[in-house]
Amino acid sequence: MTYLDLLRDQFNNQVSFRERRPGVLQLVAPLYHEDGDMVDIFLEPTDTGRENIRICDHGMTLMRLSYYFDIDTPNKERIFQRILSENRVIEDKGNLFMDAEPETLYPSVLQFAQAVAKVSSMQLFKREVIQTLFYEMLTEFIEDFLKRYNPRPKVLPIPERDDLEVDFEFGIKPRPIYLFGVKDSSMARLTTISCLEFQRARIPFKSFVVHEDFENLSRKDRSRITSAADKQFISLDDFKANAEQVLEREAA
Amino acid sequence: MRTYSQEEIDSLVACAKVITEPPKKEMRWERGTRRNNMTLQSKDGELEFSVFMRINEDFHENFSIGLNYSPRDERGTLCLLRCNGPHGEFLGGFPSSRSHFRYHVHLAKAENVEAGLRGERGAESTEAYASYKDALVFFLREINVINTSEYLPELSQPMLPLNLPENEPHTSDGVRKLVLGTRPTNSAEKEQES
Repeated sequence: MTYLDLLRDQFNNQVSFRERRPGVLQLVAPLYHEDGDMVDIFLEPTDTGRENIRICDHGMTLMRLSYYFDIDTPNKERIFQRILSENRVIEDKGNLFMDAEPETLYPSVLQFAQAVAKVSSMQLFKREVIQTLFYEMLTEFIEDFLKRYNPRPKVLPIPERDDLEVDFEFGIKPRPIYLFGVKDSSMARLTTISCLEFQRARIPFKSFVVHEDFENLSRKDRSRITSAADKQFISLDDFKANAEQVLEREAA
Repeated sequence: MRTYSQEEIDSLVACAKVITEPPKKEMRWERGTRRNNMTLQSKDGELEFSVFMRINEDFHENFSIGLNYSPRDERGTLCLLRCNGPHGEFLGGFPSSRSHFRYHVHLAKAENVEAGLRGERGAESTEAYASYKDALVFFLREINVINTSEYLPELSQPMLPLNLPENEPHTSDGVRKLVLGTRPTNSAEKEQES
């Protein structure tokens, strides 16, 4: 029994093979991406001289991913490499592959398909998806690391104005700190209005703003909020790196 | 998540568009794929789109050209149309049976979006093109880009007839009908522009 017969048998005859180039077989198996396209898996001899079989994708997984998502930052690259290593998959110039002995081809193919699915799901890390997690991540950080500054969520400094809400109040004396999370222009404008209204009401406070991406705001929005707020963090990473030190100074 | 009617999707595909950020003259090679992109706007400037063009380095017949719509009032994109090479099997609609290695087109369907699936899930095989270049010409015509000659003059020449079966038309209208089924053609809009 050849390894192909064995694999066909193990897949309960639900697979076939198509020769795409001499010696390069494409596995036709009921493994599909979300858009209905078959997962691209190729079987070919290894270049090691042994009788192992190389399971690979000839760059198709990264090509598909690139329709919607680029691995263009060190952080994305780190996650990508971690997915590969945890699934024993190697990348060579975009080609994802793993070598398997003929008798372990079936579980290896399934493992490879799983790695392809995980790499493909990296498109969920797209900015617009991650952005929706901005407030969750901000809240998590405050609750985990800034508890000693007595954070209180969803505070209304002017009780009759429930449209002017502060995301967190830190009970620091003599003046509390009102912290606003800002992920886009509309939140930047609301924060600007809130700060100005609190000032007009002569409420003693200091305002901190944590931006999801300060540079992403328009020039006018940046000017307005810079004029109204006391302290700004240009990103969540900036806040995470400096919040403790800044709050400690305020509390001193 | 926002839903769309099929008429909305069809009109997003067919509305007149202009290239606002043209593709690079040469495709960029990266990790096994030749890549290029461009951005488009509707002619009235109200709608934003992006186009990706990809060719696999090892199998040049494995290519993909797609149109993504970026709604201004919502995060994320919706893939409206994707023209693919014969890279493998694909599901011909959902949940119908699978089709074989053919050039194929993914077109967004309202029922997919409504069901929380990928809008472009499922594909139909096509004989409207048989190479990357033919597919790009077909794609740009289908999505109604009106200033192609300004940025992609090499594509302005008329498409050569394909080797379609004798009983199937290979005029542009015939091809459109063959591939995209009941989607209305945009010839009236093009006449208006001229």
